[in-house]
Amino acid sequence: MGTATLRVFGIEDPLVSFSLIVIGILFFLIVPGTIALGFLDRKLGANLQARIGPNRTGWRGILQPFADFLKLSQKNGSASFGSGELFWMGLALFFLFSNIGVVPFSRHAVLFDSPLALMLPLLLLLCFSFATLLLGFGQATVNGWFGGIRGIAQSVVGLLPAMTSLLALSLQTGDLSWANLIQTQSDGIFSWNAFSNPFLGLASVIYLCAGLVMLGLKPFDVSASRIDLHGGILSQMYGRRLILFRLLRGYGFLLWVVMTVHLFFGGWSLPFALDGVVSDLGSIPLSMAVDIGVLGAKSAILALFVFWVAKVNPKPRADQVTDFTWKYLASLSILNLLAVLLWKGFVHA
Amino acid sequence: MRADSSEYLDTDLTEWEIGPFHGSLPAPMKLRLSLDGELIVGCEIERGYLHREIEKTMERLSWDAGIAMADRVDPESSASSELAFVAAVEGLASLEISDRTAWIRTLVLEMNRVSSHLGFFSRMARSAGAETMSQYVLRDRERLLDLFELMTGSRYLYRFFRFGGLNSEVSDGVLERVLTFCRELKLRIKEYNDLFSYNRIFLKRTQGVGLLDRREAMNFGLTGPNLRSTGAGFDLRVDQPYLKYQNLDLESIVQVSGDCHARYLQRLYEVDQSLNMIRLIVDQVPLGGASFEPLAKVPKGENYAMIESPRGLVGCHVVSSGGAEPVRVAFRTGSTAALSAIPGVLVGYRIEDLSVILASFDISMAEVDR
Repeated sequence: MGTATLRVFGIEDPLVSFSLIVIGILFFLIVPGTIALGFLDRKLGANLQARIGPNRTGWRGILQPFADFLKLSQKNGSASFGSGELFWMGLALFFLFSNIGVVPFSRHAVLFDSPLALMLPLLLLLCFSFATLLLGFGQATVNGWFGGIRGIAQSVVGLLPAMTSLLALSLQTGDLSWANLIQTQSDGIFSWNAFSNPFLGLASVIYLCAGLVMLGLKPFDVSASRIDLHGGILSQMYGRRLILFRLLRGYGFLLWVVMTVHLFFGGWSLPFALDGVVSDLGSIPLSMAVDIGVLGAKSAILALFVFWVAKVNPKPRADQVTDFTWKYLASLSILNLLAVLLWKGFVHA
Repeated sequence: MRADSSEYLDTDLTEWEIGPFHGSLPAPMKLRLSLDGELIVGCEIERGYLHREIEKTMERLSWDAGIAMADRVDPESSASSELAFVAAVEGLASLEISDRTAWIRTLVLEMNRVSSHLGFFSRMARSAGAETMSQYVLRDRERLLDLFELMTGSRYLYRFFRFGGLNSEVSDGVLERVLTFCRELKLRIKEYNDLFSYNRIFLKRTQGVGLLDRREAMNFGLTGPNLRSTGAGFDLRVDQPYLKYQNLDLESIVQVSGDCHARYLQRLYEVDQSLNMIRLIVDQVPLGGASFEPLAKVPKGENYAMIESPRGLVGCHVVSSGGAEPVRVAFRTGSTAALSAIPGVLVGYRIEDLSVILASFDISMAEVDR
């Protein structure tokens, strides 16, 4: 479906179309999205803390991410890449950017679909979380080693609740394909999975939290703790490596938020059953722009909510994160799976 | 919670040296930790990174100039160390102070206590990862520091107390501003409680962590809030009142659990108590003068004065040979005893508890190393 879109622009070759879409998503969605999220995090954090935040570079500090990029790109530490570090960074890049092709950003750009398509981003992100966090494990410092150990522990415990929530979703949609997911959620806000079934609403929370734990992101970023580990897995990252690493982590967060919106909050579907209007716009680029805009807006709201919770609350310890995930999230996700099944049976009966 | 035997991994121990500058440490010092996995099984402390030869320097300065050095024992609670020195010399020289001087000194001490404890809350919040609470507290402390600047001329190292009086007069306008600040900070305390003090994550990070029982605390010579948080209700202002504390109907506040949360709550309640005292003091400050005469020489002899500082007892022993400079000045500080208790307290807890435990003792390496 996606590559057919580019016939509008006179591009017939499916491989060229696919490549152009992936490159377009990377440079026009992912990188700006990651930069925007990072900037919003700093500005929102400053606002919550009664500070101003970045305000010197550009209008209200909007060019601060670019200034940081320029500053960091001029720095390179004295230590060269260890061979292990290079391997794991390459692996992280490979797994993370493999996701670009499997997560659609518009109804006209669904590049890949299958009955298990929704599982693929989860598995790829799990591999990414292992690869990224083993970067710390491969560093020859206590900080990096502890950060890596914590990160791996989080990845292991976060997988079960995330996968169970996904299974609960599959009970609603029938399978784990993009086509079914989009079809199920295209009839207004109460057709979105989080609102059509109260237990799927709970599943959305579990899925989001489990993902943040798995990826070691705020508020569960104990593997990169500044207070006790001097940055943990980030402690040996500086200059150009730090840019790349921040981009990877930012993209991981963006991707997980986009997946949550897709799975539970309707994706690019508008709340008032206006999907038909968007489909009938008559212009594919305009329709794609609306889809990306709606998806982006929902993802931004969810991301800002996560930032808000992370900024306001203290940070839990690593063992408290794994205890919480294993004892509560995992158990709750299994019970929730049963509850979704019962609810569906009750509604259909 | 302290790890039980089942949590020890019994692996080869990792030796980890952190410091002198590290995010977990409240001030420059070195910790050599022995770790079994993430559990701390041993700790050695190396101090001295902030040694500034204060006591030796005071032997070469005049008595008046020594007040500025006494400030620097602990810059954050400089009023206490300054007053300890001034009171010791006044006792030696048999100098009387006016009623107004005594009230104003009491006021400055309590304001300094609030300022120091607000700094503690900020460090405690940051150690637990609550940056928002940390910034809120610092914002409120800024207003108090502005009041100090108005009153004494500086935000931290006041050099406000003089032998027999005060450096400058305090106007009624300043006292009104102090009262306004007290009213507003009282409301802020409620905000801190709602946001942070009983936050579930903060409770899990602090309750049962860094346990120190009463007997151990007394054996280590702890004083101040660190001691009172273990249930021992010794407060110099109550038990051996000085200045105008006997007029303020003060009661010793204690917590009993002896963990990090108890040390936090102890200081929170003490801030509330200090704010109440400040309001009473402002109502009772009499009119009058607070001037002083410069002191060139101090009669031969020695004297010791103690003050209840925000970090425990600060004592100053002064020896004079009758000349223009002291023969010896020695300070006894609350943080020194607290630091000696740290290695024992840390054993059995995790690396992540290190920053919370160190922050909860409110150790000032400036007053340890001097």
